[in-house]
Amino acid sequence: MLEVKNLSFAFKDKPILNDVSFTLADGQIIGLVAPNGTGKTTLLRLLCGLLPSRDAQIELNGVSLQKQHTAFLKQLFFLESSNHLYADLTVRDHLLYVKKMWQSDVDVDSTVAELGMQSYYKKKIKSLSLGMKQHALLAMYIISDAQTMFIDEPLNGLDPTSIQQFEQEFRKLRAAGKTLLVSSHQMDSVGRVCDNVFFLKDQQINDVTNTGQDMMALYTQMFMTEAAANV
Amino acid sequence: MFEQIKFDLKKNVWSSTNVVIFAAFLILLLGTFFTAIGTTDNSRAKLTESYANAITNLGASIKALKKIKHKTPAQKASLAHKEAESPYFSDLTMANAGLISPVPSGSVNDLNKALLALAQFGLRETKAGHGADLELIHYDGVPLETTLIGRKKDVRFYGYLTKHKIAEIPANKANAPAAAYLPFQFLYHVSPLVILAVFIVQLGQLFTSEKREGTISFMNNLPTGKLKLLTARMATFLALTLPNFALACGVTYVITGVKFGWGTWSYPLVYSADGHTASIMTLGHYFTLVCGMLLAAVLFLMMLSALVSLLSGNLGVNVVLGGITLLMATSQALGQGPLRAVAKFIPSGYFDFTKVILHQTSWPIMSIGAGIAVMLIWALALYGVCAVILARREQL
Repeated sequence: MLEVKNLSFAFKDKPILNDVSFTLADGQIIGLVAPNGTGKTTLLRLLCGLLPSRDAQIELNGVSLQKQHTAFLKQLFFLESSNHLYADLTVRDHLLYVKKMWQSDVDVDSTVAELGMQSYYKKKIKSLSLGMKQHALLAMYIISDAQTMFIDEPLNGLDPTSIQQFEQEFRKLRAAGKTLLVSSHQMDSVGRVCDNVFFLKDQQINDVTNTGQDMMALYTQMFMTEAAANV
Repeated sequence: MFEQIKFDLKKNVWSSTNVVIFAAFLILLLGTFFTAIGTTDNSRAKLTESYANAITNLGASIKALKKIKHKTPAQKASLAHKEAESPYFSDLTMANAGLISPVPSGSVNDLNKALLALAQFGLRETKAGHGADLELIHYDGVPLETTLIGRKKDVRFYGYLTKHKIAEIPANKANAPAAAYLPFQFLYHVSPLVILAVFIVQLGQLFTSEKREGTISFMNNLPTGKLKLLTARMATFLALTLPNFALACGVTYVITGVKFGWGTWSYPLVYSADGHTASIMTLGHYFTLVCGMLLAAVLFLMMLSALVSLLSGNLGVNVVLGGITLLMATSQALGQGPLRAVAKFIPSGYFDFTKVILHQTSWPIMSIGAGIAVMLIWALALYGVCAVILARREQL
């Protein structure tokens, strides 16, 4: 369980979060939704310590981010983008490295087979398409076997078949008790897989439970009505 | 840690930077070799010219003194000293002529003995307070030492050559045999500061690449201590760059050996650690010390680069700060001004290790061992600063 209390953050004079508190229970998929530049990635970076959060309390299963940094990260996997993979290394290099560093028991070969990555498993990242890199990134999440996963825009560059495949993998991870915080602009997908949705607005998080409502309509109501009024 | 080093090595081993750095080392080390290819070695002719110049100067001095009708006692004494020196030069001329003749008639040791006799005369005269009357041989590319220790060094050097029957290798000999070629590169042709500058570029590249390429966020999210990651990066640098340099040295040794012969590592270099006693160091010993000091200097620069990389991911900042520490190692910075007083306690005081090993710096230094210790202690201190910064960052 991830517990966040009193999280505030600003880039110089631009406030991003103002005294935000929330809890993520185990075995949940939470969508993180907001227009570009609102602070989705910043929130994810704050939650894993890539940005400082001095006055906040962030604990993952009772382990403090500030006090037990390494133990905290052991339970977490977050890689901002597939653009941050090592261009000259192969998919295999990345997967084996994650397996070692997270001391995971997940089998690499079966994950590769499950995601249909056999044809480019031994290829260098720089020779892969965006979709292939997104698959490689998802494989890293699965192989890490971390309890909590922050996933930033995982569906970018994916064809409809791959989107369905990713959604299926997210559900499997949830079934295994993992907690996924997934930022996305694909509202239809958010509606299909997320248990709750965090709408980030006015430096606050609006937690909406997914009861099957039209997420795109909710998004429009929350962000686009105001934007239209401002035009 | 081992897994991290393995991954870091994988990331960097095929980097084109390694090839560029290797080429840079090779060009620096083989510069003289390429100059020597296709040209006739004139170092022996230059040596003969140095002897001839000294003899001409001596003859002119004697002639000028003789012309003076009413000589002062000092002029009479000076003439006597110079006339006494003249036979030694005659012997030297004869011995050298025997060697350079189309039909050689003498041995290397005949020349060594003549030079030793001249050096011993010079030492006696200097000790007796007549050093100013001596005509000294000015060798091309070697600074002239007019002091008593200079004379002691001459005696020690030619005594060693005579004893071991080794021919003198002139400093400007471009086609020196392999064992002399490499040490001579550091002694006379390539400043150690230039070699260290190449290491600084490699260090800057390695320690800032993660930040420049954006992969640092992945590294920072690994469930391992950040100091371990930094230490693994250091190990990777050492595992890549030191063999790279060693390979460049090896290739240089083989190429020059095949072309110019192998030579002997027991050829002497003369130095004075205390300014009073002349000592001999073989090329083998000298080169070993060069490697030891190079390693210590590189370790210090590595820690500096690692520390700077924690504060700025900019390659330029990293390289420039490394460059400033190199500039601090020049005689302009350390030989005068406020840095001179602390020169012996800072790593830059020992970067010009060619001068340090032969005790030829224009600033005060401690022994070679103490110099290595100074560099390593500073390296350790910088590592400590890195550890503190990273520990604080993990608690933010």
